[in-house]
Amino acid sequence: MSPGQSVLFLSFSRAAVARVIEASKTQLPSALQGNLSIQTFHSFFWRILQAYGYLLGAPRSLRLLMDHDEKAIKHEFENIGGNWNVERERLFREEGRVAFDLFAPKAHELLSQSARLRELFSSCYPLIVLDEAQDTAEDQWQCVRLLATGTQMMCLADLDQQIYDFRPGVSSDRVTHIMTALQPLRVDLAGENHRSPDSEIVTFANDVLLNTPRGSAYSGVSRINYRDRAIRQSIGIAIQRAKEAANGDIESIAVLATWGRGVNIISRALTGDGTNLIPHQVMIDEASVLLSSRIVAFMMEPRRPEAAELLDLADGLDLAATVFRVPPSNGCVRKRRLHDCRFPLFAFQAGRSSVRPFQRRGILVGMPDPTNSPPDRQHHDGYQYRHHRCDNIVNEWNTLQEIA
Amino acid sequence: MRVSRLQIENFRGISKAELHFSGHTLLIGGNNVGKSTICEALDLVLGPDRLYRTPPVEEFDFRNAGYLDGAGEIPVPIRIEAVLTDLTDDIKTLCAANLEFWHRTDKRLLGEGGIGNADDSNVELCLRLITVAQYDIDDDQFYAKTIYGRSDDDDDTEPRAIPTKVKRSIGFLYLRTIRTGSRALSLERGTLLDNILRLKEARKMEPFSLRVGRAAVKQPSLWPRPDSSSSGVCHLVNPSYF
Repeated sequence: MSPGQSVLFLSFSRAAVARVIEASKTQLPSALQGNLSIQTFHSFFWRILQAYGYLLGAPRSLRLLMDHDEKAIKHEFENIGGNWNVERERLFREEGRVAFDLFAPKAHELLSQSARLRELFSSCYPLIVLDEAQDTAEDQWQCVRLLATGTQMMCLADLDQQIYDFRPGVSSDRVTHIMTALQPLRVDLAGENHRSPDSEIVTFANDVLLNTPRGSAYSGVSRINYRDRAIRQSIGIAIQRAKEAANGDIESIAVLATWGRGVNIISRALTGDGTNLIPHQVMIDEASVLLSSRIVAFMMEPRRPEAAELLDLADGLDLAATVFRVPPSNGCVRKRRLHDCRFPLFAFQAGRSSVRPFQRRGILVGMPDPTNSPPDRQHHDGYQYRHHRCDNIVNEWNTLQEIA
Repeated sequence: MRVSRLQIENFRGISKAELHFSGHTLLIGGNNVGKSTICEALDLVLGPDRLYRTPPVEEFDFRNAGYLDGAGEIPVPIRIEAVLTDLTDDIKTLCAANLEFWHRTDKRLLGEGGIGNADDSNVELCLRLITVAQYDIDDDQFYAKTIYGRSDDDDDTEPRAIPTKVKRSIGFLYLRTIRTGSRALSLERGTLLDNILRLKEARKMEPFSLRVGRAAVKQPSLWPRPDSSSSGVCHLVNPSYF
């Protein structure tokens, strides 16, 4: 490779990027590590936009419109009946503030309109590796496809792991698009498993996904009944195992629930009767927390001289108002966290919405609700399942979300 | 690669100048008309080692020694900007996120909303570099750095100096009037040979390069033969020679 060239590894989350960087440090000789550029889609597109976004009519200097700021502005703007898409575009063109959701569409606009830019960026990356290709949204995929004419592509995809299909532009047809557009050599790695090689975790997950439980134990998967105690025990087991795996201390464990009440149930279980508290933090929607923290920071700043007292007050009120402009949260831990989680420990409540977390990532602990399962359907040696059909459970999930 | 436009402000005899070059250039003029000033300006903005001199500029590099405004309170900078065109592939990939588009016939950069002209046959990618040198009142020192023209408009952040690696890859070499030929092939800092060695990353650590120097001087046979292009560098620094 010539100076400035590197292999580009594109992934979705910063967590995934961090894992690949860690792995590359152990797998690659240090001399070669500089030849690998591991980036999220967002950081890659941001680089293109920062450099050439002005060609689309925006100011030369662009700034990020942070997620929580966007929520606040959007809510206020829609309250007065505005069209957010129009306003978002105006913020980009006139103020140079770029919302996250504009990254891919704007990068696509640039790359589709200039062959020179396409050549420039594809010559920087003679090989592009596309992680979680099944989850690429339309604009992301179009950018990659435009660069693919001048470079070699390697796509990693698993339709069973599609977790972003609730987003606009993400569809189960993506793998077909990739096959038609790139005509790649297809390599099927279905039989290989390096994450949990000596267990049946994947089989278990697939069985749950397809609703075809085999009714006997799966190696590597355990089940604990009884809610509060089970939650506490699961945490204990998870910590113990994580410590063994990490050969020492672990930083944190995330327990994820799919809806607001689930978070309450888990938190109450961890609090116990007051004498046996397991210390934990309840995470809620980030936006209002981040905005509130700005007020706190403001309060801690030295006050302006008396003459500017009113200005000071105005700034304070403005910050306070922003907090209330954020739309009321439904109390759910944001779904994105499922993907970013370092220790995929899933605690889910009462088997109700169990299908969705199962669709997502590896499972360590599941807790069916004994009071909800008809006794005749319990398997003493294996697992109990809610005997709804899959679509029933999905419907139920949707209803629950609405209630929440 | 070539320089298409050079802008100079507040440097030596020049208060403000804009020069457009096309291909090779010969400057002819009497004493003190500013021929060397233009060469020095090019060295400041393109030379890989020029800014490492301490101080990088001196009082009299500023026009009429005017490094402060009339009231003596606000520093007035020297500003030299060069637009490089006909870029090599290496420079394009090294600076991919810092290039701009140059319109050859209009002699201008594409501005905001100019995407429609990006693929025009009169337009090409260019690299714009700006060297700013100024006096720091608190430190009582002259500072200078070269930045990408691209980052000049970032109002929030102080633009970072471009990596020396990039400057070296541009390959600008200023042969001064005296001691030209023999100096270019010496191992002093900033010479032709020094630049090639550093470009090939064969001259990173100072002690090692000193050894290269000694060995090279003692054994003329280690010098690259004319027919052995870049591989000459490799055999010159092969550690087995020491």
